[in-house]
Amino acid sequence: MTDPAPVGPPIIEVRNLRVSTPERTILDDVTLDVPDRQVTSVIGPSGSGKTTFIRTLNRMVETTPGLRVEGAIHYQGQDIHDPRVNPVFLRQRIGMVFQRPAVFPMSIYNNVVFGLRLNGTDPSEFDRIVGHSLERAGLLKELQGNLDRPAFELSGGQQQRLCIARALAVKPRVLLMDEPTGSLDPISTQRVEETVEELQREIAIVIVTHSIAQAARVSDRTAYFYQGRLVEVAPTEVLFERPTQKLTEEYITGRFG
Amino acid sequence: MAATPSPALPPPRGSGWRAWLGSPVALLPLVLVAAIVIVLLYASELRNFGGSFWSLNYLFDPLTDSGSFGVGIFAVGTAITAIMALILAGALSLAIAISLTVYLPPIASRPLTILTNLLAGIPSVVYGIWGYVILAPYFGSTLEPTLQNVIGFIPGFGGTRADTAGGTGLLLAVFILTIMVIPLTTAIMRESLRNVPKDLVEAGLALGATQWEVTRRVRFSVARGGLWGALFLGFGRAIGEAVAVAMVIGASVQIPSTFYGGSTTIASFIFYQLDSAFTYPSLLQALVEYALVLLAIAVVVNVVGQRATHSDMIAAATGGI
Amino acid sequence: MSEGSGSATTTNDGIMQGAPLRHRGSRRIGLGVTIAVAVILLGAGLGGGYLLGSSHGGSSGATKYTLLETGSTLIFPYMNILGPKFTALYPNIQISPQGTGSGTGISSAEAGTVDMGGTDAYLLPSLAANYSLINVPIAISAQLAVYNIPGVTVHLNLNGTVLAMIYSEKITKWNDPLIQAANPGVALPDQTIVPLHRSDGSGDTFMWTSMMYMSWSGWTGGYGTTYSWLADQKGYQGNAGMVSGLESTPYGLAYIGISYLSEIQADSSLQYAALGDEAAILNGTNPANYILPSAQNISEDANLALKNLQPPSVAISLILGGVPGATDLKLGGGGTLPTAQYPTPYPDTNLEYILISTHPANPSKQTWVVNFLEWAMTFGASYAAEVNFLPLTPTVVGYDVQALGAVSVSS
Repeated sequence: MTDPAPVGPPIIEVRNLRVSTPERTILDDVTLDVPDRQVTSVIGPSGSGKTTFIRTLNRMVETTPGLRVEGAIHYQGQDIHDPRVNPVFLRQRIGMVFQRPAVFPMSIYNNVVFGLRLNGTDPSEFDRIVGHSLERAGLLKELQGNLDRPAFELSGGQQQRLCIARALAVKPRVLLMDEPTGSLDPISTQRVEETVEELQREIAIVIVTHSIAQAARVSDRTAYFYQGRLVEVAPTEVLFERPTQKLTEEYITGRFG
Repeated sequence: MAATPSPALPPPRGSGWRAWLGSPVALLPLVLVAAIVIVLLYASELRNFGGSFWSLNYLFDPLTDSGSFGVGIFAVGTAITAIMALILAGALSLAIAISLTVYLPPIASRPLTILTNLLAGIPSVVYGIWGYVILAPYFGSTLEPTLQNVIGFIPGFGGTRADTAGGTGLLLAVFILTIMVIPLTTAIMRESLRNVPKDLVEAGLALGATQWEVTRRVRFSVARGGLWGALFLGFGRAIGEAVAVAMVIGASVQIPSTFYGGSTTIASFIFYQLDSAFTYPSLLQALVEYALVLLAIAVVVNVVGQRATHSDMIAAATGGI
Repeated sequence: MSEGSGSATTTNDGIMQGAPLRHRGSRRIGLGVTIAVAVILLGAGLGGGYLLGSSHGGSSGATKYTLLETGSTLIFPYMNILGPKFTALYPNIQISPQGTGSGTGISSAEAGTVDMGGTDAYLLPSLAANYSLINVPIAISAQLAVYNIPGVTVHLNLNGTVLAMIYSEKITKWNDPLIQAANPGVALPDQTIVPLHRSDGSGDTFMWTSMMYMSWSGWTGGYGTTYSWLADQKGYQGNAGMVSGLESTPYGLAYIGISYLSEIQADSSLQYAALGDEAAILNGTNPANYILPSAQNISEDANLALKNLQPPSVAISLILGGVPGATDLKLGGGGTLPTAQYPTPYPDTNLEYILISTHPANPSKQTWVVNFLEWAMTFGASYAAEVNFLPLTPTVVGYDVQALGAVSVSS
């Protein structure tokens, strides 16, 4: 299945992606463009390959032993599997937020500057970047003056937004979010969604979600995965109102999944 | 909420005879430690605790069954061997633990893990025999004279032929202790690193960190308690090891001027003087007091080590939430 | 040391230097026996065999007993030989020995956990009385001054004074004039002497320091199963440890019990010394003779020492030989040795003791302990040579029999 109408210029182009283990195929023949400065949501039932898909985009999939990746992925026209591409640099351009808020056991401030210490940012810039990143993640007002507190002490929603701030601090062009609200309560979910909305005109976001409603709320485009295949991808309102595929329709109308 | 609870609810688990039995059993270790301390205090009569007990002056006159029983030399010997062994074992264990948990694939790390666990199961007397029969002649005839020639200019590594004779001494004791401590410290460090939540590791990698950067900045940070705890528990093992050390340390009551010289530790001195002590009551009292000093140090070290390791487990369990 | 060294002679090289009394192979067998006994003991302990051993049984109606012995590692091989021989005569009796060190032998006898406590050093009679114990000598042993000097294969002539000065580091080189004077014609190297000592509590240390103490007025720190050695000297565990330690210590010097003679003879780098005579020790003079530890020289010393003891006591060191009334060790006691009858006593000689209770908890079992010891010092003494021990002299046997008569036994 190919992508019929990309909206805006793509920042990531995925062609004929296949991910497999010796025993089974996890993703097969996925071709998809990720538009820049828009939110793309990835939906589908459990085991459809959504998470594996976004983990291929910043080559995090390579940290899981035994997976074989075929096909092509281009980031800004550059083949990310080119041997000259260092995955470490790639991941600084394509950030990622996970389902469980993974704050490091250090202060809030040190969490945010973690990536900056790695990429050699001038430490005199840290304070400014921390403030900016926390503001973009909608945390600055809540945390102002408490940046030396351990990050553990924050609530779950705050921790997740801290992870977003931490990812944003290194100024990625793409942010991958793997069910970022999966472990959060409704209020925290709403705050994270607000953050996503604020970011969506600045960077490209790919968000994996179990919630059809969330996909409808936050995304410009939605891709539906089923059993390792991309069934359909379209502008969100099109996909939800006039799905072309029967499988998509069954899923979004709640007949299964 | 309005529903009345069923009257037939079973009693909570742990009540009844199990709870009744549970608390005294849980207190048993405490009672045992207290009993040991009291009996030792009683046996020692505290006769020698005082100014000279904490000195470096040990001199026993068997004819009059009297002497000066300073614990100092033995305490210093214990500290030197244990700390040196710990520095070596700590560094090696950390390297092994990182290799096992971070870099090596399961097919390689699993047999290595079994191997290090196997080392931990070898009785200390076997290490002692090995050190004494195999290593000591090699140290004395080859390794130590070579060290004297090559790095003899470094203070502590020079000395004369008589210092290296026989091969027993501080260096061999440190070597044996290092090997004995490595399995323990490696096991604790390995588990601490393994308990670092995968989420945190992935988060670090996703921020563009290399495996080493994640290890240094995330894994060490999360596992800090366990890593320190490993060192403390390793120290506890090193200071308490009597048999193997007694066999290879050279049994000289001194702080030697070179690392080849003989020395002794509190535990090993107790070990090889004990059978004489039954003939000399004052010597027995002194040994009991040395045992109390060792006990006190061991309790402190182990409590600190356990707490550090435990806090790390808590941190690991709650990490990221 | 002023006398001409030419007058010093080495006498009575005797049987010790001839055929080794025991082969290495037999020691291996000894080790095998040791392990076997340990395994059996363990099995018996775990399986409750100990209880069975003391229960009534057998068609003969004789009560079965297992007599427990622990202590001196020097006595241990001897007990391993005596035990089965005695059991062959009296099938209801098993002897169960353990080599744990003289100190443990003493403490176990004091605690009453064993029937016999073996020790190289006698328990002071005053202490023994506190625990209702008596010292029962069962054999005569000796100690060797052994060295590892590359290039020197002869028996050097050494004496108590020189050895004491070496261990006090007043003499530090093998070619010291005092050593060279006693060994004319021997090319002694200009090398530092490395003295080794026992790290464990040891009857051998007791003997060695006793000889130092009696031989040289400069010796400080007394004598005992433990001793405050000079700090830079290295210690070794057990006689076996001394042998292997000396093997890897060129220019080393060590004191080793005679039951390790075959190990020493098996290693060409090791050799043992002839020791200066006892008259020199007693009077602080230069030795006229240097004595090798032959069986004859050792038994001469024991005979000399025990001949005229008044009052009778076996709690003595044999190092001062037969000085009348020499129950207390004091340097410069003066007097003369009746050496006419015993011209070449080896000075570093010792009695091996078994401690037993005079008021045992089980008198009928103690009957068998007494029976065993009486057999061991008489008929059993023919096996002493297998471990380089010597049978007791008639004087000592007489004393033993008298002392054993005071033990509470049931008839």
